[in-house]
Amino acid sequence: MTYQLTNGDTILRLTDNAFIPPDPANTDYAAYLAWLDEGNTPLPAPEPEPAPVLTTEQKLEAAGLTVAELRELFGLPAPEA
Amino acid sequence: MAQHDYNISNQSGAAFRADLNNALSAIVSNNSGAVEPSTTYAYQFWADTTAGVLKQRNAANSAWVTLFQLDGEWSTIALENGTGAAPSLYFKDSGTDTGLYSPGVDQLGVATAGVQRVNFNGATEVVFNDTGADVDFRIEGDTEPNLFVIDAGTDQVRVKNLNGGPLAGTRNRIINGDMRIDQRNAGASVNTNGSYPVDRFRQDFAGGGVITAQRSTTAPAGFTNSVSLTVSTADSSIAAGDYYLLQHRIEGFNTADFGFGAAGAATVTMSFWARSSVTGTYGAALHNDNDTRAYVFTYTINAVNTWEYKTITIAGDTTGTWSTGNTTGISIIFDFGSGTNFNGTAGTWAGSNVFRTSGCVNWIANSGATFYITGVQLEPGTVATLFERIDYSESLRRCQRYYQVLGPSDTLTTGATICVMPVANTGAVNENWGMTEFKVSMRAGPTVSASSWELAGHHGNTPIIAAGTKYALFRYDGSNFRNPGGRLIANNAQASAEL
Repeated sequence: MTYQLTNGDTILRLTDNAFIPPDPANTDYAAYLAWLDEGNTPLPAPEPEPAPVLTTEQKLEAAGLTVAELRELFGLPAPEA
Repeated sequence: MAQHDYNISNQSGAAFRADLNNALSAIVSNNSGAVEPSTTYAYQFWADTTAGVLKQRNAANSAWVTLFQLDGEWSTIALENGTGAAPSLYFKDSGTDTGLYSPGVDQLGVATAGVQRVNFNGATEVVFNDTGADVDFRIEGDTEPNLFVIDAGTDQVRVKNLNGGPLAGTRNRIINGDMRIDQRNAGASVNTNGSYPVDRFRQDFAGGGVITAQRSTTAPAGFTNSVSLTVSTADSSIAAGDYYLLQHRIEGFNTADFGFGAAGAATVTMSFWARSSVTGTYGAALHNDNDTRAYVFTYTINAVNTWEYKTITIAGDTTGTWSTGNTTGISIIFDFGSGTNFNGTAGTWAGSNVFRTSGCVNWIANSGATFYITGVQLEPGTVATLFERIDYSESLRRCQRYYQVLGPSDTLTTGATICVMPVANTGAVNENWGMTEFKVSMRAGPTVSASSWELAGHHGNTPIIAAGTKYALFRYDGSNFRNPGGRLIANNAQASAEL
């Protein structure tokens, strides 16, 4: 039996991809604790991906704005064609 | 003995005197004799020394009426029929309106205060309150004054308990004892240690043998299903620590009222139907959560391949630690051949992990052997009542507290939509959450798994899952999953909070 930590509070049992919550009444979690007591160590959690660096356009899109709406908001002239 | 015709004839003085004395002797002895007097008179007594009874001539002087036995006891007494208001037989201190009478042909009535209370009516019935009188009927127990009450004035029946347990509600503490619910396999077979052939019943084995188990339609009358066990790999050299078991674990919440572990622990009764291709004595046991208390009992399969009904009454354990919460309260273990480490003594509580006796059969040693079981019931009291019938939906709901399939079906499904992931991710956060609510609140935070997961457009990626007793959360991290906006689909997704 092999376990892996996750970036949440659950434990991933790799034999069947089962997520085990840290509930003392969960018999799978009790088995995991017993596995730890035997001197075993779970695999580390995958490295979380860093927060993305967004472009200005992506930030506008996330805010639900368009470039044209932003120009109108600040009274900026439209770029010359 | 003396009898006389009571006719004194003309005769000499001495003869007259003798004849008169004979007549007087007949009078004082009530005309006693082995045969009736040769001359009889209406209302005449006759002490019949042959029959041993005192008789009296009827008014017509045509027959004898028997009064009572000469030893002072009555043989038969003929009374008038009487009425409830004036019973034929009454008692001095109670007055003439309390006693026995005959309301009709072949009927005996009991009246008090001039009203019939009971009518013993021929060979058909005994009726209380036949006249609709407001008279209660009450049976007292040793300490309970109202063990059984019929309150005629309110038309109510009141009963304190039924076989020492509650009158209704859940008598049977076994869930899915009739083996109908099989969410995991839908009737397909399983053959691994720790697998569940039907909901709530788990097979555990360790050793060289293998048992194939599944829900079966072979069942005794009144049942539609059983669990069938088949020896697919025999173990004829069982090591001391080997075991082959079918277990059912009952949550402590559902056995707390038994009061095990303290004085006054309730007596409980097990019952079940079993059928086997191997006759002999089988072992089973009741255990506490950590197997430090055990009560071994045995039952006998008398005939091959024949359904047999088994019952066992067990005095509750007054010691040991017994869970009354959401962990195992009582586990029931059926043995099919285990090592000597697990041999105990039947009929007594022990402080060790035992579930059979040395005399039990090793069913697992017989290749191809079969065993069926259904109608499993554990109830309070000393009587094995008929199997408690539970509505199918209610039985499924009870099972889902311990195991349930995620998605729209009640059996494991491929391509099941679990939930819809959010559409609006601002992009500034890498976490994308989805949620599904469980069909029934689970016993504990469940273990959630699936054979594969699929998020629309992101095949093969497994979400991070967190689950409480009410719902499960699914999370995808990373920019690859920004604005997932689609269904989270899983193959054979399930949540398990089994004991």
